[in-house]
Order: sequence, then C-alpha cells, then structure tokens
Amino acid sequence: MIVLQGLTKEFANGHGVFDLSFTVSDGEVFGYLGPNGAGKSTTIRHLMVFLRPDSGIAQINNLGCWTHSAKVQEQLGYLPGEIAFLDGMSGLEFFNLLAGMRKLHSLVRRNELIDRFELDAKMLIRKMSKGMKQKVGIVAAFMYQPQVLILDEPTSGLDPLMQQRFLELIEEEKSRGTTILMSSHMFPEVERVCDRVGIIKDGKLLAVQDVKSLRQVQRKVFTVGISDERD
Amino acid sequence: MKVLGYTVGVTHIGDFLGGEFYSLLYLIIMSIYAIFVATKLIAHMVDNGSMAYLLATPVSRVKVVITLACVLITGILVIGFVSTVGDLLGVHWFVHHPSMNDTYFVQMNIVGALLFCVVSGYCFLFSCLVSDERTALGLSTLLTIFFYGLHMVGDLSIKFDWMNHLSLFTVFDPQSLIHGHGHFVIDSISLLVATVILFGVAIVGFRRRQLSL
Repeated sequence: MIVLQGLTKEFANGHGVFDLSFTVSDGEVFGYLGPNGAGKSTTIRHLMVFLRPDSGIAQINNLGCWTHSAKVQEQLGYLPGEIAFLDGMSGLEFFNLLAGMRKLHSLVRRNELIDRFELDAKMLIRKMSKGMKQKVGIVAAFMYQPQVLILDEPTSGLDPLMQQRFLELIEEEKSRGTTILMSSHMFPEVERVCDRVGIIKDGKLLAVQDVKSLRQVQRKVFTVGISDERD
Repeated sequence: MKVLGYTVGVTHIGDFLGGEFYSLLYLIIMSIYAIFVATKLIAHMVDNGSMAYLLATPVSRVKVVITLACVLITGILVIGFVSTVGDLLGVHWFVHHPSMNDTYFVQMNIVGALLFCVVSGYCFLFSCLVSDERTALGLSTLLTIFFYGLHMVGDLSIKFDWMNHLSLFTVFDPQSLIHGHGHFVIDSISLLVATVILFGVAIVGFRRRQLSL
C-alpha cells in the first residue's frame, strides 16, 4: 500500500509538489498522469527516498519512506524515468549485481522476463539502444517479484509490440496482487491497465478518479469538440 | 634543489628514493588516483543517475557510501603497499650493501599512505556533497594543487617558509622520514584522525542529502 499525505516539497525555483494526498491500495494499479514537469518524478523520488519532503508523509506498506528506507526497499521494485546504468557492465552483470544486493537466488523469473522481452542480456549496456536499455530496466524491476512497483514512464522507448507485452506483464502482476504506481502521459495504456488515475499539474493533484468515470468525462469533451466543428 | 624535493643531498639509495620517487612521482600518482576515483565513485554516479539503482535496494545509504569509501581507501593502501614492497625488494636485489634503514622506509610509506587517505577524504567529501561531477572534480583538483603549490613555494625561499605551515603536504617529508627524523607517531595519528573526520562528515552529509536521481 502506498500512502501520500499532504506531501509538500518546494524547490528553489518555485517548482515542486504541493499538498499531495492519495492512496494506492493493495493490489491496485494506479496511473499517474500529467504533463512534463508537473511533478510526477518528484513524487516518485519521495517514495524512493531520494528526496525528503518539506512536510507531509510518504509511506509504503505502513513504513515511512525516509525513516525506514532500507526496509521499504525490500518489497519495492523501481523503474526510473531516465535510466542510467553503472559504467561498463553487460545486462547480465547488472542483473547479477542487483540480485546480489537483494540476496535473490532464483533466476527463473529473470530468465523468463529476458525471453519474453527478447533481450540480448550479454550485450554491454553502453552499446544498447534506448528500447533495449528500457527492457533491461524492466527486467531489473520485475525480476524479484516485489509487492510494490513504482514505474516512471515504463513504456517509453519500447516498440508497439513490446509495449503490448509490457501491458500484459502489468496485467499479470495485477492478478498476482502487486500494488503498482505507474506514471505516464499516454492515456490509452493507462486506460487499459489501471484501476484509478491521479492527474497532476504544476505540482498539484487535480483529480483522482477511477478509470471508468474518467473515460466518460473524456467522451463528453470529445463530443463537444465535434459539435463545435459542425457549427 | 629543495623545490624538487632534495633537502639533504644524495648519498644513499634512500636519499634517491626519497627525493626522486617519493617527492614527486609518488605524490602525482596518488593525487591522480585519489581525485579521480573519489569523484567517479559518488559524484559521477549521482550526476548521471546510476546511483538510483544502488539506492533502490535494501542496502541503506550509509552502507552504500561506506562501501564506496572502503573501495577508495583500499586502493590507496594497495598502491602504498605495492610501492613499499616493490621498492624494498628492488633495493635489496639490485643494490649492493644498501645503507637504507628498512624500518624508516616503511614508516615513510605509512605516513605517505595516510597523507593520501586525508587527500582522498576531502576529495570524497566534495564528491558526496557537491551536486555535479565537474564541480567535485574541480574542487578536489584545485585544493590538491593549492596544497602542493604552497609546499613548493614554501620550500623555494626562507621568506616563504610560513606557507609550508598551511600545506597538508608538509606533513610528508620523505627525506627526513627515511632517515628516521620527523615525527612518525604524531604525524600518523593526526593524519588518521583527519581521515576519520573527513570521511565521517562525508558519510553523514551524503545520508542527509537530497538527491535528484
């Protein structure tokens, strides 16, 4: 379970996030939508304990993110929005490093994911294309089957086929009961897999709605647009 | 001659090693290692974002940063050890009747390695606290060159001798140490204390730091 309560963080340039509150319940897939620079990544950085809030609470599985960072990480999978890997490693070496740090011994899930995304893991990450790097990031986040997943624009760089496979993976995780927070600016993918959606703009949460009602709202706007054009 | 590190004249093999290797080449190798590795270990990874992956594991920030600090220190100690053993073996193999005191030679190496633990300490501190890699690299390089420059100018003339008191490098005087002059115990202890303080501040600073990864 992910809980944000009155989370506020202001940067020197006036940007930031202001008084964010929402909850992602166990087993729910929460879509986090917003334009570039709205504060999606800033929110995620608080959950990942890279940043400390000015005020407010960020909790995962009832543990405060800043105070229990190492414990929180045990059940947390993370896919960064801008992935940067350690220098000079191949995909496999990178997976082995993370598995070592997490004391993960089973390679079954990892190999299955590598096959599913048709990843050539022996290649040096430095030599990989953007989409391939994204696949490495996805395997790294999903391979130890965490209870909670935080995904920052997970499908960016993937080709349409792989985007499909990724969404299938999310659906599979959802049926396993994984809690997922997924940021995106593409509504169709969010619409397909998410239960609820939070919309953020300029650091403020505008709405938290379930996907069904959002779809209706969207359709209404769409009809108005067409009738305008006929006039 | 004093500027180049020759303060006592060359009569022994020890004088040669102290003046030639330990007053110049050793300092350069160790400085470059300390500056580059310290910057690469933290600032580089924070700057390009790969630190996110190390921190997104159930290993606490403090443990991550302590591990990286150990990597840095281990490197210094390995270089120190290799140069000690290499020089000792070389001297005993190739020089007939070497008049070098091995104990003093080892003591000199200990002070040298500890000096560079301090240098890597402030480089690591910059690396941990500064927000981008180039600033960290720049500050570490500048401070090291500044200390070295002060020491060199301080040796140039008696008029500038006061500068020596401001430079960290003054602690390490290979030509006195190799003859057993100098303050081995006090110097070692104070360098050790400085190292612990610098790394301690760096670790605490990094733990509290806000990272935009």
